[in-house]
Amino acid sequence: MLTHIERISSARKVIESLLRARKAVRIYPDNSPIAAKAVNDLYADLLTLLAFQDRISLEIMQDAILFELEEIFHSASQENNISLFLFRDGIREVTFKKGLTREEVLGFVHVVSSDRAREGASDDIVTRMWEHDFKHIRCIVYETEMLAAAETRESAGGCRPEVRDFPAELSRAHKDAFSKKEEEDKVPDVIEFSDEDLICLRKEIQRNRADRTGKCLAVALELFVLAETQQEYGEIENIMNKALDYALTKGQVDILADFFIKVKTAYMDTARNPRFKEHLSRIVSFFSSERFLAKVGSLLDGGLRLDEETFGKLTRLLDKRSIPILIVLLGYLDSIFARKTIVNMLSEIGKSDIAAITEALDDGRWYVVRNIVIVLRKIGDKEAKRHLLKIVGHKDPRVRREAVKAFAQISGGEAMDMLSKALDDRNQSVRQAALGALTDLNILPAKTLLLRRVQSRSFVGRDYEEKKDYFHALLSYNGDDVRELFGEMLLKNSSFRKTKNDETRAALAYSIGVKGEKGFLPFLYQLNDSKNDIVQRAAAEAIRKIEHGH
Amino acid sequence: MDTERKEISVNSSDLSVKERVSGLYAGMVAFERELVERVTSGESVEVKKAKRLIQHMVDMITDNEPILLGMALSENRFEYIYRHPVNVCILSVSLGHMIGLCKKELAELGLVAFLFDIGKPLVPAEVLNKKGLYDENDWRAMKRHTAQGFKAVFGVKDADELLIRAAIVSFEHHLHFDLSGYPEVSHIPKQDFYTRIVAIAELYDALTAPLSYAEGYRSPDHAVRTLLQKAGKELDPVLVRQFVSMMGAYPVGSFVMLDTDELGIVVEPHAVFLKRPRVLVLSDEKGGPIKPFIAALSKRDENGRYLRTIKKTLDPNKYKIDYASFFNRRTPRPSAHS
Repeated sequence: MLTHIERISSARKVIESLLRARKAVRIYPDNSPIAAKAVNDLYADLLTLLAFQDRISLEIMQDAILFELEEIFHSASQENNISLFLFRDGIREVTFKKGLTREEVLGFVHVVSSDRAREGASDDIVTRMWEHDFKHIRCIVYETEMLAAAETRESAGGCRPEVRDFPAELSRAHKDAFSKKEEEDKVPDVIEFSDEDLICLRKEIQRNRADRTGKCLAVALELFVLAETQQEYGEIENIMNKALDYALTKGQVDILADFFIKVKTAYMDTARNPRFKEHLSRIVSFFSSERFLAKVGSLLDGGLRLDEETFGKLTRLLDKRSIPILIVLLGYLDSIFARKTIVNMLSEIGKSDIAAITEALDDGRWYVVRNIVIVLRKIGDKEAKRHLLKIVGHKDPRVRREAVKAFAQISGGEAMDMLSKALDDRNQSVRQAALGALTDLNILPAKTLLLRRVQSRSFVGRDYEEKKDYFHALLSYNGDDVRELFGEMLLKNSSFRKTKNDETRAALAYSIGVKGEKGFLPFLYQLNDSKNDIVQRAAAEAIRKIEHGH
Repeated sequence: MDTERKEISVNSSDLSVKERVSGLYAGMVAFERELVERVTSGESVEVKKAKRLIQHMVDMITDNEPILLGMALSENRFEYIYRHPVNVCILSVSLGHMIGLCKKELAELGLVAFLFDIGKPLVPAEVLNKKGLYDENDWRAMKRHTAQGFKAVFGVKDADELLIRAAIVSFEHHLHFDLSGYPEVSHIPKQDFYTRIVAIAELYDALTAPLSYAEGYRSPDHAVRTLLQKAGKELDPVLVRQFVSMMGAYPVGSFVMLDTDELGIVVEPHAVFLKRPRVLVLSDEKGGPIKPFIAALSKRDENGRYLRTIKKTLDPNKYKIDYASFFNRRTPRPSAHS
């Protein structure tokens, strides 16, 4: 047995552990070591006390918690005060009973850790406790409504019709019953249920668990159609906004997209009156509003994934008013995925207003400009060419790289001059992009340019990786001229800049291997005997790849 | 437990349950009265209070279903306008419990059922209280109460999942299972699951209410017959079957004459046989009061014949037979007179 002082000390420890667990659960997920330890500590402290008694009853005051009439917690603060938190919801006593499990303790910590401001005022503590249905944790709640009910019951009872003499009434009923004719019997004796009934019911219960916001919005739209007065339109518009806000808070972008399709269809109905259209147009514009799009952005940043269908619906429904807002989002969204989604949206919506997109090329932030360039490339409108040409000279290589790709893709053969210059860019990634673009162009001038570059005296001085990129590009074009040139290059054993020359041959052998070009095998066999280690190894590897495929 | 004759024991723990049931029912009626007043005057309503009451109700239904059901079905029809939503709430949650909804869903269903007719007080009083037949304008005004209910729910507080469900049920409760009711809709493919439950409970309570839409007394099995007739058209057929199976042909609180000429009150339906509930026998074969006992009508003699069968039903209100009074009082009323 513990003494009173020891029990009080243990109870204080329970409250301290509870506060620590509350804090830990608010910050960390349940499976994190910190949260798990905090909950384990609380559980252990409760069990320590429960080892000596059947229950631990904590009396909840506004600014204190009592145990066996002793104050074991006190706080006058309005913020983060556990006693006030429980007291405010009507809880006056919390009891932990013998048999308490760790799951129950964790559930309890979750209940007292909830942030009502964030999770909605309807999630009161008593409701949460009730929903958990703890077997070993009980609350006593101050029930004002139940007290009121008792009073009402008395007063309601007083209003009831006067109770008459019971035996006489019974006798009267008995007598009347004999004069009453027999009732028709049309009710079956037994109701039978088929398996199909039960399966159907189970499915309905399952379906019922899905969210109802979409349905609520559909009802609101029905009411919009039925509305007659200005006041009614206003009221329903207000309800729609509330439901839209709720859906937005819950991240239900798919529901919003579906609803918007319905709204837009109703809006396009020419038979509707102007008042109907006026109110509905405000709902329509909600979807291009900063509030809506900023929320979508933050949801994407928070990890929301839009499936292809939802993305398609949403994007089709946005209009060009949303372009500047989406561009602003590109400036502050953190996740790559979120930015990528916005880029894809802009690539669709921007088709109707290229000028609004190109304006953002003047943005001072390189990452915004780069994303806008990607948008322009995806749109592929020739109108963007002149803007992109300016960006090819952007100070940031990451922007230049995208601009080279975009300009080449949009301009085709007209991009040759730009690409030729880009092949000499001071940044390798830009040069690489230019090579890729020249490969993709698949036109003779591009091939000629590449051949010229490879044959130039300066080529041998480029680094190993870049040489490979050139060879890859030319091998994609192929042709007699390429084969002839490469054959010569493979066997060229010059003593002038020998190391660089050998490196070029090795790069070419490697590229041939990757491409699986069998026609070069005789050359490669010869190189396989080379005394130069790099060349021999590259040739051997290429032979293996061509002959064995790996 | 199937006993032919069982003395009623009113021990102290039973008494507290019955008192709590009675207190809860009164509390819900009081809250409904307050709700109507607030909705009519455009004031906001505290949902938390309703939630607490419904949580108590769910606990009681899952623990003592027949008592609360009986309370709903045979409580005096005084102030029916306030009692009707409470009864619908109790019947809906009972059906929800029967079909296996979880505790959280039962509380959800309870609240939406409680608020289902929140638009009704907004119908002009001259229409609501009209004694004669409704003309076209009256019907128009009456039919608008579902839309008004939808709007009124959003006036209760900001949208959340629970309120959204309540608003939907309020809008759809006259729509019918086959969508043939009102209001006419074009964007709603089917009635919500909760609406289908509430619609059954609503109709059943209206059909068994002697002072509501119909004049005079109708036997409880009439309500069951009507539900079965409307199954598949106005009402969900699977849920109707579940409901009828739960209630039996003679629901708790029915005042009946047995083929032994004894009088009694139905206290508990049979799990399978609709017409074989347990009956609290109040009189002997001559109509004289006796010390009440419970008789299971499913019980047979050695020849396989049922010992007792319901012969007729009587209007309990006509004879002031108040089901609740047999459980509310510390001393059962019959024994006070015996």
